[in-house]
Amino acid sequence: MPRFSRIKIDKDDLKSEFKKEVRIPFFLIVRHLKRTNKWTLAFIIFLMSVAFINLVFINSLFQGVVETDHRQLIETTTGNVTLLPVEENAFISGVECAVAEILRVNGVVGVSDQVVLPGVVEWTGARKNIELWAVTPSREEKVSVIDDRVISGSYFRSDDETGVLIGKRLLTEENSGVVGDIFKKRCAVTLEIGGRRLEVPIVGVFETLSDYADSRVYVPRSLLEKNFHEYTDRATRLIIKTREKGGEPELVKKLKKTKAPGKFVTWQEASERSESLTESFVTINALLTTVGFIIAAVTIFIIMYVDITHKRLEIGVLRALGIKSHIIATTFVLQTIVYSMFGVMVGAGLFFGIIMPYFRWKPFIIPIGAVELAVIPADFVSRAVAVVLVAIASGLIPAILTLRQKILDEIMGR
Amino acid sequence: MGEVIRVENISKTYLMGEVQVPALRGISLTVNNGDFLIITGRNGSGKSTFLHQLGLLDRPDNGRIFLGGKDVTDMNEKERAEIRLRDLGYIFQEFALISELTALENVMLPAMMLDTTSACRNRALQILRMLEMDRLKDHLPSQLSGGEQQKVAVARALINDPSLILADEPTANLDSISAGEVLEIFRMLNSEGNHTIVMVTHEQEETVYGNRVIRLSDGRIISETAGNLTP
Ligand SMILES: Nc1ncnc2c1ncn2[C@@H]1O[C@H](COP(=O)(O)OP(=O)(O)OP(=O)(O)O)[C@@H](O)[C@H]1O
Ligand SMILES: [Mg+2]
Repeated sequence: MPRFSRIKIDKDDLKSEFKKEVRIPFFLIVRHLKRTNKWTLAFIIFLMSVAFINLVFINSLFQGVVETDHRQLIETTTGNVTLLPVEENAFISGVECAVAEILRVNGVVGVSDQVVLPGVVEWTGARKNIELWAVTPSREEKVSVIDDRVISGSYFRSDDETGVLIGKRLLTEENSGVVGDIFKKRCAVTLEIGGRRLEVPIVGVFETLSDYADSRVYVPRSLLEKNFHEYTDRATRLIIKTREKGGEPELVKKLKKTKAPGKFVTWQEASERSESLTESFVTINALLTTVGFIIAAVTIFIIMYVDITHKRLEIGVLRALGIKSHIIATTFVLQTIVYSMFGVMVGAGLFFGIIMPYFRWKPFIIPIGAVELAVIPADFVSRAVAVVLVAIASGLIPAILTLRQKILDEIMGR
Repeated sequence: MGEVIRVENISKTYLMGEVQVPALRGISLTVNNGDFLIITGRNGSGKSTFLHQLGLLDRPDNGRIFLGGKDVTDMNEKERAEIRLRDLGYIFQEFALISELTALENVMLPAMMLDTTSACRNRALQILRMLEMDRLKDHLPSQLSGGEQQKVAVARALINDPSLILADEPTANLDSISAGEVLEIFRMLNSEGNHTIVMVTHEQEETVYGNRVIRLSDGRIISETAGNLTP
């Protein structure tokens, strides 16, 4: 029994000791916030929020670019998982069997067999080297978003369609002019495949905003096979859509157990380009984040330095009264924490309430697509914490510098 | 009758670039419990510099200072802060109130190092009432007259019930009526509260309040006379 009461007393002592340490700091901060000039306070908090937004914005922009790049790749090019021919072969054979086999795997939403060939498109005199994507329209629309991105005309109406879909970037001044006009003026292009020329009508124009995808011509497989029998039941690749993003490696394991002929790879593996893009972005992002941190640190330091320099007299008086230095330092550190937390809150409000919606409304259009800001929650939180930590240091350093001066110099303003 | 202050041959020289400005040149003095010592002298004679040494706001170049028999000359800043907090009440010529705190809050602040907020508030109210300042307790320093601010500064100096009160020209910024009120408070604190008081002034007529008057000139004590007050 006595032991328990001892423990309790110790705890109370600790609590009252802690209370003693923060009693004066809280007392002073509450009065300060209540009575300081509201505009100065608002300005300080605004500057802190700008420093925070600066830190978050760059990161979100880069994250937005990376996410757009990945989304575009999956939606227009690789699917979530790609089946490629085994090394020495150019083609996957027995496509119909493979498709049926893959569709039976749990988690697969769609499979599209594609023949990707180099070709030439000729149109009102202009020639252009292109990639020709021969697809089964009813399967392709279950995997890629091309069918949703048609901006003029329409997607293939059936698997036996005899026209082609062309990417927006193939429309240049000399061959068409305005998108809507091409169907009035001239609705056919000449394709050159393996030395043979084929005149085909255009059924639609699509635009994904990815320059790579928008330079393609989509052809129904039936049209290709009618003219080139060698492609029957063969594909250069199969692209597979999963129910949700993220489970690709698991699905690849499951798919490998099927008898489908070829090599299953995730979208990341299918596009080495994206890997290196992400990597170089990580480097630039780290660089800009470091710069952002330095800017935030310097901004906050200057704010706090000016604020504390203004309070030299007050600090001198507190010291003359016998208030302990560490309590005075605690006051300024707590004050900076309050400032920076308000700064982070206001910054987060501005960011989620104004900046993100603005870029959703008016995204950046870059050659890989329309980029919005994207936030990684962990990054956002760590940057908020970093701002508060920087603020603590920025409050502590000038406070300590001031506390090392002579009391009289502070009071007399020397 | 115990000894409250003993000063042994202290000196202080300020450096202004290359020029040495001797402000104190060997001052020795003993102040006993219950004394009301007046320090007077011309501008620049070293009165404030001397009081700063007694108030542990500065350190002398040479000599020793004893407060309550303890040698405080070489104490570290933490110990000196503790003495300033508990044993000394310092009143600045310029009031030195904290502008963001009301009269009441200014007064209670030093006590909050030692006691709970509500206890400090009650004691501060009591002192303000004694000084007839309680109706102005919620005024900020900027909303008080010079005399009222000085009374708040006096109240703050009293909050931890110090044995020694040091006041540097406490009436210099006040009109004669306010000055009289503040001096009356000191007289009362000295005679009824048994506080030892050291007060700097260069008003000749104020020397009547003390029981001892010393005159400084050029950093030295040039005379000591008995004041009108009989302790
Ligand atoms: N920080 C300082 N640097 C240089 N010289 C100083 C400093 N403080 C005081 N002095 C000088 O020391 C001398 C004594 O100054 P002190 O302030 O103690 O005089 P005082 O008797 O209080 O004068 P007053 O009646 O004007 O208040 C003066 O010559 C003054 O110029
Ligand atoms: Mg002076």
